[in-house]
Amino acid sequence: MKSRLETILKSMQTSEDAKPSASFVKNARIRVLNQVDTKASMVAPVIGRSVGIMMFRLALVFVLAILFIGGGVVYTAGFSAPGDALYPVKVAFDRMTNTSPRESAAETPQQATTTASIATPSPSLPEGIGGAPPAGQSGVFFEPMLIPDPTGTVVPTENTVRDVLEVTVPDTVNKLIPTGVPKIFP
Amino acid sequence: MRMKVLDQVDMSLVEQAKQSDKEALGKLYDLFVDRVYRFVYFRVGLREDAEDVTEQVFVKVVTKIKTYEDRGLPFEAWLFRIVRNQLTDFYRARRGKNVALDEAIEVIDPTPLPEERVETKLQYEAVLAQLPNLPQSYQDIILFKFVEELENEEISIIMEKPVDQVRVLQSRAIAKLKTLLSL
Repeated sequence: MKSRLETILKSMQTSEDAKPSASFVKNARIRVLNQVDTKASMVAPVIGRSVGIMMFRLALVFVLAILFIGGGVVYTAGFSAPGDALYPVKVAFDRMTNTSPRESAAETPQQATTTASIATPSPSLPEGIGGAPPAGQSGVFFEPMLIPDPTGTVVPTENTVRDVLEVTVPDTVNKLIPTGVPKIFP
Repeated sequence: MRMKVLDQVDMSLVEQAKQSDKEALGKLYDLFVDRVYRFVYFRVGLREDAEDVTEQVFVKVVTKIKTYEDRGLPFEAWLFRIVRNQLTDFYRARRGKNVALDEAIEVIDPTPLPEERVETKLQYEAVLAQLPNLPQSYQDIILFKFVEELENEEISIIMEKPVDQVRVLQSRAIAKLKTLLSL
């Protein structure tokens, strides 16, 4: 029976029903080939879009490259010393970050008061410590080391620079000189 | 592997068609329109639907031919893959609107038939009526094997299945059809 079935199936090959009409073949051919022109007219926007995407990608890569290189230069400049090629970059960057208008504006009134009290010596300080040099004295005047205590009052420490230079150093040198030898410091 | 039926198209014609050469595309259309229509007709059952699907197939060929590359895939196999995809789309769009093939196909033959021819014709009509009741892969395999007369190797390329599986599917499809025909 299989061969009978196969015969029937093969007869489908020549079935008149399964042949397209001449009018369909002709008209469909025209419509199908017209798609070539339609497709050609659609190619331009596709190309334009792909170029646009390519340009965007290039621009993105360019911006990322600039950011990467710029960041690298600023980072490297952070380790530069005066005289190095990148030192001006470091200075410019430091200036930019230190004098940022936003930073100044962000300073609270309390912070401003504290800064002023540190910068301006207290009027209650003893004469000769901080402020102008005492009358009748010449030479270099050293600023005392001022440290604010927990209450906010600024007081001078005992070991000021002047103490070190005028008391501690001479005493140490005099102690090193053997007895009988004239002292350098009176 | 040399194909018996496939691989008959002059590749230079296909190459010209890939360059949107209208004449070459027209020749390809003329070469295949009958076969594509026949295959589609036996699958969809209605002349109008067969015409619609056939035209869509060739529109797709025109728009996609640039993507075709002959890497062991004959042009005909590529074409019949498009046909199968288009049929899948057709049935997806018409899900629930299946038309029985015996209602759809009009067999008009006014000449009187001898007894043997009458019997054959009745069996032929019975086959056409039962074909849509088979799974789509069975229908495809029967049409490829007995109507298009392709070798199993060629069917395996079109259906993207191993040859052994094609052979098994083929015997199952025949068995199922025989059951439906009560043979």
